[in-house]
Amino acid sequence: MLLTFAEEILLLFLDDDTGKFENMYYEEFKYALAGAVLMDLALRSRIDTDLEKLTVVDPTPTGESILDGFLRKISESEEDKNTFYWISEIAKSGAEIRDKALESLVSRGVLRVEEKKILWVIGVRRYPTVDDTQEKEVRRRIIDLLNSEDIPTPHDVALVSLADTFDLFPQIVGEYEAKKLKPRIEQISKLDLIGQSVSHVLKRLREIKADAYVLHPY
Amino acid sequence: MNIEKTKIGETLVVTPEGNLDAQTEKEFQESVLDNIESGENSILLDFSKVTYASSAGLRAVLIIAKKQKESGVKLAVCGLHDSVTEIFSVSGFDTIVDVYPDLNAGLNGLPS
Repeated sequence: MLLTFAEEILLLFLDDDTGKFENMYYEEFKYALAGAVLMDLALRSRIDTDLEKLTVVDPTPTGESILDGFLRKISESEEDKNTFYWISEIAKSGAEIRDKALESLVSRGVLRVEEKKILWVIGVRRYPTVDDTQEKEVRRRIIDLLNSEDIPTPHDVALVSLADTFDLFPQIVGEYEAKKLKPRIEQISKLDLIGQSVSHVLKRLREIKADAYVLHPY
Repeated sequence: MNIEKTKIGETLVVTPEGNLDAQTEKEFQESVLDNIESGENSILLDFSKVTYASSAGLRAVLIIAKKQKESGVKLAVCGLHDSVTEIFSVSGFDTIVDVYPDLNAGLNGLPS
């Protein structure tokens, strides 16, 4: 079963025991999902990027509904835009990407939907894991890679890059190991230009928020 | 993509020409992987005729470097143009594969 990056990232954010997304702040998480879409399109040879622009090299649909709408949108753009632009643009549809990825994981039998009521009123949807093979496989592969001097596959570079941007490593390998493995994580993360762009967008977002707080603390 | 190959001593010098991007990555990658699989044990990628590299081009280099490491083949890159040097440096590819300024330095620098 080949998961999209958006699906893999959702699995890494999901707490197996509670079925809830831990440490997920949607305003930031939507950029991870946007980056995941672009990484998928790049690894499926539909787009290419450099330090200045992102171009479509093959507009043929991938067959993944999460990806194809955005591929069409980028193809229809009249001029080349850079990766930052497309991350910001796609992030506007973050909720749609998240919901499609969750639907896909449920239909693949990886997750199930559980509706709960808090105080009998507020509906809360949780996604307990049904089959954790995929998630364990992703985690094992990443841990093995970080603990070796192996050269990563392009797929694993993209995944490590996204996981690093969203500080998922303490959750994946534990606080101590994450700190110890930081230089290796950074070396691998840097190899992905789309991942670097997601990281820059997020850094900028955090700076704007920090500035806003200084100006209007209350 | 025109890919020139010359044997200098024990080293196969591979010189691709033009852009290394989504249009050419597969051809370049498969060409070098063929050499690794056919038993070459020292390969120098001479990029002096590569004027542009994109992330797809870098991906080809990554896949070649991975195969090289798994096969125990010696590999280095030389002759990067300024724009290619920049993308190699920004993406940290110079930590994955040894980079030399020119062909002579590459031939001398490849581990024996």
